[in-house]
Amino acid sequence: MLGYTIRRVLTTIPLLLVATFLIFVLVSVSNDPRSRLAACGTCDESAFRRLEELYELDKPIPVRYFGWLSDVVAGDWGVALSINSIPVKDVVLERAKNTAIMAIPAFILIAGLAVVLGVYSAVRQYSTSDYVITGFSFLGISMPTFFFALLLQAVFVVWWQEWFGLKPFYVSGLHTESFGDLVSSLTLPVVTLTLVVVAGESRFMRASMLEVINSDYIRTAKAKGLSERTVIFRHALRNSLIPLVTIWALDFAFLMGGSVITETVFAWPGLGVLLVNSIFAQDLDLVMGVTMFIAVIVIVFNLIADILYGVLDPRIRYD
Amino acid sequence: MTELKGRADTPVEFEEAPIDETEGLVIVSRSFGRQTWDRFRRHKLAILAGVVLLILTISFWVAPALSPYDFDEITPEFNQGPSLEHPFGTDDIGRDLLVRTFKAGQFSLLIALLVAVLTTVLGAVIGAVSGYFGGATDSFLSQVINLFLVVPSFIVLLVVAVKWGSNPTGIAVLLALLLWTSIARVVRGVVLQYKEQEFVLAARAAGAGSLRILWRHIIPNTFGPIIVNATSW
Repeated sequence: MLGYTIRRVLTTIPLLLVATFLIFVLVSVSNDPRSRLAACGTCDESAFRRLEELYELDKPIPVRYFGWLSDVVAGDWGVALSINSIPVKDVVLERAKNTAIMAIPAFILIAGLAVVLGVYSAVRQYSTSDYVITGFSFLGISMPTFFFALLLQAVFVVWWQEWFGLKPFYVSGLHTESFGDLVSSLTLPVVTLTLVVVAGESRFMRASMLEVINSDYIRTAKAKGLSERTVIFRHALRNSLIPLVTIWALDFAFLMGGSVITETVFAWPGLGVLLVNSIFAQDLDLVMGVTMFIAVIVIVFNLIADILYGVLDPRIRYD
Repeated sequence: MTELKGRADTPVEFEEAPIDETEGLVIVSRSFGRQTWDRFRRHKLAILAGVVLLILTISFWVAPALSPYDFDEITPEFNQGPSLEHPFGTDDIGRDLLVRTFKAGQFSLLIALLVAVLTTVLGAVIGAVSGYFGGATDSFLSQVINLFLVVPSFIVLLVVAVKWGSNPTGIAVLLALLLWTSIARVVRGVVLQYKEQEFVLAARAAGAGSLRILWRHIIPNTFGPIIVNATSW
């Protein structure tokens, strides 16, 4: 497993090179930072030339890429021109922290609920509770995130205030003045993310659990007189967790990369909104910084999932 | 039970009417398609869902044909709320939103179907090959999956939208290319688990080749997650 991990970490280096090159080319061909000056009445030729110089627009794209790459390797991620020229590294780390504040509690809730709901509806397949859980899952899968987020805001803040005269949660923004404020501003976005993501995950858990509980060794375990609880939690659960672990890694990376819609509706200063804004603002260094950060998270969590496979099922060996 | 009477190795010892010991134990063999159909028929929710899907599909094509408005017809009533003439209201340049919704349904349905099929096939094949063959193949394919995961779809979509505009097949193919990765990861994980089990060893001992083992023995075991994934688009 150690050899495998080392191999995976080493092959990540060419991957990051290819990925950043692709992103660099895509961003460079899709926009020209000089177009920002078109709307600027007071800018003259010198501003135009400053941008050219800054982004080395007189050089071909691959040359510019290697310029960016050598700066990054030296620890210089550039400055975010669209946000008052703050260093990219500072912006990305600050926003990543905000996203993590929302993503980590959401992920813990999602992971726990997915297992509970998935196992419960698999064990009681075709019962009323299975139908209810299945129905809500499909509701969660089909309902657009923005609609659900707006609904929560309407019910728990606007209508709540009309009915009871108090406002239990913050509608928007990240408030860190006290722990109570933090929880209050977190609640609605976390609930939104949880319901949207858990719907799909619980379906995976249910399908995988059904596959396992219909297999021979589970029948054997039941036949030798083990209690239902022991059979499900000691024998079946562990073997059925592999698809869910895969999805967990993908979803956690997705949550940590910033969920654009949820962040937008709740005015959360996170990574997803930052990425979209930086693309629209044609802020190349910032786009590269954010995507690099997200890329590392995706790669690390997929690797963790691969290592966890071996822990869950020791028959899985990579060497 | 005529086929039992005809069995050459069963001596009939009793003169009186033989008790049929196999009564209730004979399983009429049914094809896989037949079994699926029978299970589907007994499943009330599945039937209901099928009927709803059928009605929706038909209405996507019938409603625009019956509507007094064309989907791109501009009427003088713009920005209207729901009314009898326009049950879904009208948009900012006065087009009827009901006929536009159903017209859009046609494209959504076609794109969703195409994306589901393409992502499933692409993801399942790459995931299965990666998990089954392991080693350098797996390292390479895993990193290819990572590559597709780390390039933000938003940037790709911006570039492609500018270069090719919007045509439904193009959108479906592009979405499939951006979305096949999660099912590939899931299938790979499940294949990693199944390829170490006894029935695969047995198949190999019986002389089955890698492709046959993958196709006949391992892929059918990954159908659960594959179907969950394919039906979530």
